[in-house]
Amino acid sequence: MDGMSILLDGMRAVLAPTCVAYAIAALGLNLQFGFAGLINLGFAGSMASGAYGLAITVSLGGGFWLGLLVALMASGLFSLIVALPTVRLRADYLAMTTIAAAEILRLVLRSSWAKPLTGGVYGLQRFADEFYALNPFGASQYALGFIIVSGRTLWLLVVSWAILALIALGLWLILRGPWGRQLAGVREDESLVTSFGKNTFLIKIQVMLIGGLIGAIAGVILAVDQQNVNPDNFASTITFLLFAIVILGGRARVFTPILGAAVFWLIIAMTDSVLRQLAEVSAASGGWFGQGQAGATRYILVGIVLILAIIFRPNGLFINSGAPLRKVSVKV
Amino acid sequence: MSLSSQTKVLALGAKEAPSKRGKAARKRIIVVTAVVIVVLIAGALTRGTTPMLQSVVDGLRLGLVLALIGVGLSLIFSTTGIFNFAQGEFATLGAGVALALNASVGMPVIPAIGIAVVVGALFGIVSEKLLWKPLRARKVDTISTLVVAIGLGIALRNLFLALMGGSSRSYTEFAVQDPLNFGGVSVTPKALASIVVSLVALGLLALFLKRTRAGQAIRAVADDPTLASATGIATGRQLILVWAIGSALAALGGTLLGLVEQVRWDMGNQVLLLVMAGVTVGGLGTVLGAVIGSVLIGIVTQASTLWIPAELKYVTALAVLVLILLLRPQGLFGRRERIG
Repeated sequence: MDGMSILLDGMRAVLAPTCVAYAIAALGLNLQFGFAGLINLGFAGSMASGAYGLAITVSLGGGFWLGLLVALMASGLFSLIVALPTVRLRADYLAMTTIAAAEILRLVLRSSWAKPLTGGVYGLQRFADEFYALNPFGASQYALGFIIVSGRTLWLLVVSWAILALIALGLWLILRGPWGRQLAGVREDESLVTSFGKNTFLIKIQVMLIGGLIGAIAGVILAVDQQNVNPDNFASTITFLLFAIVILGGRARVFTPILGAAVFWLIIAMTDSVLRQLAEVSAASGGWFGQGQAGATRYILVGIVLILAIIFRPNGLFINSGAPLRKVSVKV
Repeated sequence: MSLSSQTKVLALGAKEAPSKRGKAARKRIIVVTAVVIVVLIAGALTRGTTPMLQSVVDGLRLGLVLALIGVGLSLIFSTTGIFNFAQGEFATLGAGVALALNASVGMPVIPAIGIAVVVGALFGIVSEKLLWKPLRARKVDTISTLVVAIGLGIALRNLFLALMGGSSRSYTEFAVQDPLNFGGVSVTPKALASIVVSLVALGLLALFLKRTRAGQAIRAVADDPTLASATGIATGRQLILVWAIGSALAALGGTLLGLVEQVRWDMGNQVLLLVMAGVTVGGLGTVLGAVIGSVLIGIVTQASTLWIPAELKYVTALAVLVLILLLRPQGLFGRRERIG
C-alpha cells in the first residue's frame, strides 16, 4: 500500500475540471433541493441538455459560442417543460416525474432513432476545439503543487473556477435578499408564504430554471473536458452523486456545495486508489476482488455515506448539527 | 368492539361516500379499458392481430411482475409514508439469491425461488428494524428519508455488481424452452408459469388484506396510523409485517423476472421506473390499483413496440407516468387527498 500515491490520487481528483463541474452542478442542485426543498431527481437531464445542446450545435457546424447559447436555451426549455406542470406536486411525486423526464431524455438521446443527430450510444466527440484554440498556456506542462497538469487542462480549470466563483457570488447576492427568504419559506411552510401573498408557483419555476441553467453549465464543462458526450454519462447516478455532495457539504448554504464537492472527490479518489491497489494485490494472489469489484465498492460506499450522513450529520460535515437550517423569520 | 367494525368506521370517515367512490372508480375502469381496447384494435388493424395479441400476453406477464414488486412499494408507502427507491434492489436480491443457490450450490430452481422469497422477507424485516424504525424515531423528514432509500438502493445495487459481475446470467434450469403456440401467439411454459404464480400471489395478498385480522390491521394503519394505534393495534408490529410482505413479494417478482428474462445486477433498477409508473397510474396505497396500473403499464410498454423501436419502449411507460401525474396525480383509483 502506497500512502503517497493515494494522497496524490485524491489531490489530482480535487484539482480536476470534473470536480469543478460537480461543484457548479451542486450549486444548482443545492438551490433547488437545499434552499427550496424541491427534490429534482432529473438534474442529470439539465446537464445532458446543456452538454448535448453544445455538442449537437457544433456537429451541425454552428460554432462553439453559438453552441453555448443553444446549450443554455436547451436546458432552459427542458427545465420549463419539466417544471411548469410538476412543481405543484408533492415531494415524492415531483421526484418521480423529474427522474422519469431525465430518463426519457437519456433513452431518446441514446436511441438509434436519434442517432443521426446525437450519435446514439457512441455520443459526439471533438466539439470544443474552438475553446481550446484560445488556450493562452500552450501545450507545456504546469505544476500545481505536486500535481502536473497540461496547459489545456489548466486553461479549462481557470475558466471553470472563474465561472464557479461568478455563479457562487451571484447566488449569494440573490439568496441573501427577500428572494432567499421566500425560498426558505417554500421549503419550510408553503402555505405560510402563500398567505403572505407570494406566488410560490412562480418562485419554484424560477428555482427550477436557474438551477437547471447552472446544471447546463456544469454539463458543458464536463463535455468540454472530455471532448465527448455520451448519454450514459448523464444517467441518474450523477444526480445521486450530486445529492451526496450537497448533503455532505450542507444544505441551504451558498458555498458549502463547493467544499462538499472537494471533500467528496478527495474521499472517492482516495478510496478508489486504495481499492484498486487492494484489487491488484488480490488479483495477484488469485482472489475474487478484482478491478470491477473495486469500482463497484466505491459506489457502495457512496450509498452508505448518504445513509449515514442523513442519520448522523443531516446538516452536513461543515455545519454543526446543532445549528438548524435557516428558518423563516417574520420581521415585524 | 371487533376489529372489522372499527375499520368500517374508518372507511366511513373518508371524504366521499363509499358508494359514490365505487361508482366513480367503475366509470374510470370502463374509460381506461375502452382506451386500451381502442389502442389494441388500432394495433390489430395496422400491425396484424397476432403481433398485437403477442404484445398483450407479453405485457400481461411483465405487468404482473411489475405488480408484485409494486404492491410492496405501495403498501410500504401507504403505511409508513416512505417512498422506497430501493424496492428494485429488493427484487434483484430475490433473483440474485435464487441464482446463487441454483448456479453455485446446484439447488433446483423452484426451491431456490422459495428460499429467495424467505430471504427477501427477512431482509425487509431487518431493514425495518435497523433503518426505517430508527429514522422514524428520530423524526427524519420525508425528503431525507427519500435520500436514505436512494442511498440504500445505490449501495445494494453496487453490492450486487461486486458479487455477481456486470454480465447477465440465467438459471441452470428452464433457460431455453420451446414456446407453446396458441394460434400464432407463442408463450414459453416459464412465462405462463410466471403469469400464474403472480396471479396466485396477488390473490393471496388480497385475501390476506381483506379477510385476516392482521390484514385488516394493516389497512387500518394505512388509513390513519394514530387512530389505529389508539384503537389498540400494535402499529410497530404491523409495519414489520408490511416490510416483510413487501420485500418478499418484490423478491418473488425479481426471481420471476430473472426466470423469464435474465438475472443482472441492475435488473431491479431498470424496472423500478416502470414499477413506479404502474403503482402511480393505479393510485398509491390501493392494492387493486397497483395491480391494474402495473398490468396497464406492462401492456402499454409491450404494445408500443408495434409502432416505435423496441429500445424506446420504456419511454412510452415513462410518458404515461408523467401524463398521469399531471392529469390525476392521485392515480386512477387513489384518493384525492394524496396529492398534497
